[in-house]
Amino acid sequence: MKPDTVAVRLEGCSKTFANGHRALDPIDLAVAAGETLAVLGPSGCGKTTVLRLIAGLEEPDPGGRIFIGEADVTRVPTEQRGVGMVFQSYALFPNLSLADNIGYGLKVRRFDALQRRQRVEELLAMMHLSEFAARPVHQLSGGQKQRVALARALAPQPRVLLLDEPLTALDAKLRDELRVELAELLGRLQITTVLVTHDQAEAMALGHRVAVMSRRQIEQLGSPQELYRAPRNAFVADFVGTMNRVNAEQVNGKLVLGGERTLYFRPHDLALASADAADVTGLVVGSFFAGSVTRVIVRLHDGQMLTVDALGPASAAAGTAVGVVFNQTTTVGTA
Amino acid sequence: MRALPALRFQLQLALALATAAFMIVPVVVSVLAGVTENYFVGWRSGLTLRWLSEVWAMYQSTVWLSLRIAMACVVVTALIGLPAAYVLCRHATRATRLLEELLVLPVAVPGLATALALILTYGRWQALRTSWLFILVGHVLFTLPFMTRACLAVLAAIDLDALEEAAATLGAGFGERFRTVVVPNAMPGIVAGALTVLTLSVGEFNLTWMLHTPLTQTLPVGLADSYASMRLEIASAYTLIFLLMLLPLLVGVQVVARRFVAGSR
Repeated sequence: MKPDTVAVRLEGCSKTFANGHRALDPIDLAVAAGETLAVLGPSGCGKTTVLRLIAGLEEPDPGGRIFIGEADVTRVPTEQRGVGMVFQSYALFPNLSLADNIGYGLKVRRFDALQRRQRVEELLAMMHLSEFAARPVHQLSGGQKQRVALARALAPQPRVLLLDEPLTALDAKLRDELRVELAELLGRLQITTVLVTHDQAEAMALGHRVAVMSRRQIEQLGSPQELYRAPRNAFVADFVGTMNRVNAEQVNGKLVLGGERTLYFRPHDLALASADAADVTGLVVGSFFAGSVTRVIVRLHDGQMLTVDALGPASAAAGTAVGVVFNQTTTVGTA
Repeated sequence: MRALPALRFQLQLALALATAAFMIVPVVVSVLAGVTENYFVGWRSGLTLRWLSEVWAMYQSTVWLSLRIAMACVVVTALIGLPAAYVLCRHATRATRLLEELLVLPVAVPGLATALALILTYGRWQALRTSWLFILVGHVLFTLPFMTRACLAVLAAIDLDALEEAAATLGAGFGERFRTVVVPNAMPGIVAGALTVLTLSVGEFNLTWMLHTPLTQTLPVGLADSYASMRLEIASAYTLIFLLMLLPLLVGVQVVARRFVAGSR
């Protein structure tokens, strides 16, 4: 851990807008120094508000307090907080070239021209943008804009990096590439980072810890493995990864469909089997070959649907009768 | 049947040319009158630059005053209009929208009425009443909506909130943000507004006629004066001078503006 990394802490921060709209219920959140925390949730859950509170772009309702390091920054304006932010729309300055965008924060902070040029060149090289330095912003591709936005945020060496849906605006292939690049970069910089996303793959790949939010609250905060293996409630179970919910009872180690209880199964904890060896039987609705696994959708005889990840290329045409074996349930909450 | 589209095109062309001629011929006639020895005799009396030099000797000061007022008007409307547009853009509420509508009022109200109101209110301050600044006040009142609206249109088209927030996270305070984000990005609007304001101010007559004093005659007021009291040829020569002054000015400003906007990108 670099010595100049700082922790971020929110205490009892809620946000109600002037028109009465409640964006965030009171939350406590602590980000350790050097940690990458991913805030994951559907749109409108209040995750972006968390980010804007840390940046100082919104002020918390009375009573809420925000700390960066040991300092209470609740009343400190954005420009004095020393945070770098990448906006979802990138918000690059259209009147400036690529290099001038990156150098903006240095110019504002009155770095001299030489220092500025060195730092900008360093970042251009780091982001593989050197050959485009003189380009106006509107001539850049989506991926280039994303990198410029990141370089611009990092240039003044902020204590905290805030990323608002940094990869959402990109197409799928580019998103995968940049996700790897970003993970590598964050690992190298070891800067305290808060990342907001609605994409669980992004959150799991980049976050040391993930805070899952829904309806203005944090549902669960933990490592990606914890969230996946031991979701605290049905929302987290459904939102992180794919989850089968089955109304069934376990009687003497055997699964009996029906009843009040809901059991949870990850797709890879189920397997296809011949009808006589299976826990339950049903008809294949569809199957999607995805290389290492084939995802098979099965309708059970009582109408419930299951998603099964079968290893390798399983041959399961629609309409085929199959059996399903339940290997392991996932425990949700304390149930 | 094939001849029909060709015929239609020819009719359209004829109509367009006739319309253009209807508008341009009076200008040409007026300009020619300004260089004719005696308009009532016609061409046979010969061409002359006499009238032009006479106008220049008599009314030169009106040309300079008009230019000075127009330039000052551009500066003042930009200084007021851009911040006004900024506030209207950043705080778009029902109240500010109403304000935006009210801003256009001086354009709809007859200039004479505006001028009368100005005279009734401020006319007793002799120093102001006799100064060219009094006319400037009128012109600013009349042209400000055009500058504000031009700036507003440009600011509304960009995501100003996000740009300013980005600048703030990079360490820029309000003043710095306004100078480095708002002004450069509003520049195309300021330039477009400046052109409109310049044109309107140079040609403004209604307000100016009420607000002027014998020592603060602008070009259009001088023109009216010459039409009323001089030979027809003199007034026509005056029109020619007006055009000679105005056309290079507008073309020049366009060129400078285009270079400026291109340079700031």
